[in-house]
Amino acid sequence: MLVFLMSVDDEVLRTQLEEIYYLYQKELWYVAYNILKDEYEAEDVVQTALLKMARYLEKKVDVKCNKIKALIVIIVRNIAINIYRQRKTYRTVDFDSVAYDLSSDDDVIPEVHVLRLDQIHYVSKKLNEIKPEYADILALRYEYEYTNEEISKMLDIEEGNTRVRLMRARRALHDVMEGDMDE
Amino acid sequence: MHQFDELMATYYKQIGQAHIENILTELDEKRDEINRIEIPQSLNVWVKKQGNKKRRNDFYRRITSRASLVVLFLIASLAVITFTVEAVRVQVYNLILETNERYTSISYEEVPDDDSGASMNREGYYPTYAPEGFVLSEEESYGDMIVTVYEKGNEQIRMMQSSLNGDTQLDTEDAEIIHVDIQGNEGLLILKEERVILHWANHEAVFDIIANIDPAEVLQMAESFTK
Repeated sequence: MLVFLMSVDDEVLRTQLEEIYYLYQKELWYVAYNILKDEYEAEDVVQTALLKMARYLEKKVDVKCNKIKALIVIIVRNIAINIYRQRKTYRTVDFDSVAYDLSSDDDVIPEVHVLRLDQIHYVSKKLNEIKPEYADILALRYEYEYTNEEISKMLDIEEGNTRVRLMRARRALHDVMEGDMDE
Repeated sequence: MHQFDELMATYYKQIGQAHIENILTELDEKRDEINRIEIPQSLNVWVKKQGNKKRRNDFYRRITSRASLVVLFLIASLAVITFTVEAVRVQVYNLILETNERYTSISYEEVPDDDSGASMNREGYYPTYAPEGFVLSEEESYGDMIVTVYEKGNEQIRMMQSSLNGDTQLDTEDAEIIHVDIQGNEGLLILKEERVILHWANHEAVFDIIANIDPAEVLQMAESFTK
């Protein structure tokens, strides 16, 4: 780990990372430990997340802002989920790795969503309940405006998986909306 | 950007913003529980070390440059030993299947074969045949896994090759399973709706092709795999 620490050379950046840690350490630990139920692994996750954060942190950013807090929580949560899955010694090959149509949102009707803007918090929460990774990836791509490549590096997943996860997230969101409309 | 895409991106952005607010609200709701947490001392020490790191950087740089040479030498030596031993220990891998309702688990067991002299190095395989119009869109390594993706419009061929370590779980729920032969190795062709998974292994790697194209094309591609 010490070798990786060497990469955080910038004094301002290092100070910001320290500040983030001292501000949110309990939240980060809580999120990681709740997924992994292992102190050592949770510690690793928090360290890894801070180091990843170093790559994406802009200088002079307000580390106390909610967006930064949520970002580090999202990174911690996703790294912890990855580790949790890696505990299984097998790899899974499923059909969903290849979709019928990776680029299409044709089955998503925008008017439906625009009409339901008043319920956006509810819909987002519902999506998070179904699969937190879906809500996370939508936030990273569209609110934080990271590229697929950046998200892949941030979450330690291959770029193809990022695209597939985004597609699934959009479709899951649509399903949530449709279910909601039927109520 | 297309107007429709812009509209959807705006919507997704709002979902993202709402998600951020939900994360913060959830944490606030668990505030009492979170406040009771005692952070391990080792984590605090790790962070403090970062603060003090600058002073030590030059020292570490000097050390690591020398240390890296030593490590490189050790890795090179070990690699030579490993490949030499493994080249002699050529194995044939038997497919061991265990099917349950949703997934089929596959592992491989070694069968020593002294007559074969095949190399055991870990270079990647690639197909010499690709269906017409498909172009290479992605090639990445993740740990011991190499992922290669070919695309033609909305059609995709996703190929993965990895070491024989560990088991594979194949999605076989409601799928048709056909036993096939790929370059003399036993494989499984799994068909579901318009998608296909082809799984096989040779003496040094496990391969999976997942695609939404004609299965015959997938088989032809697999047969053309070479180093």
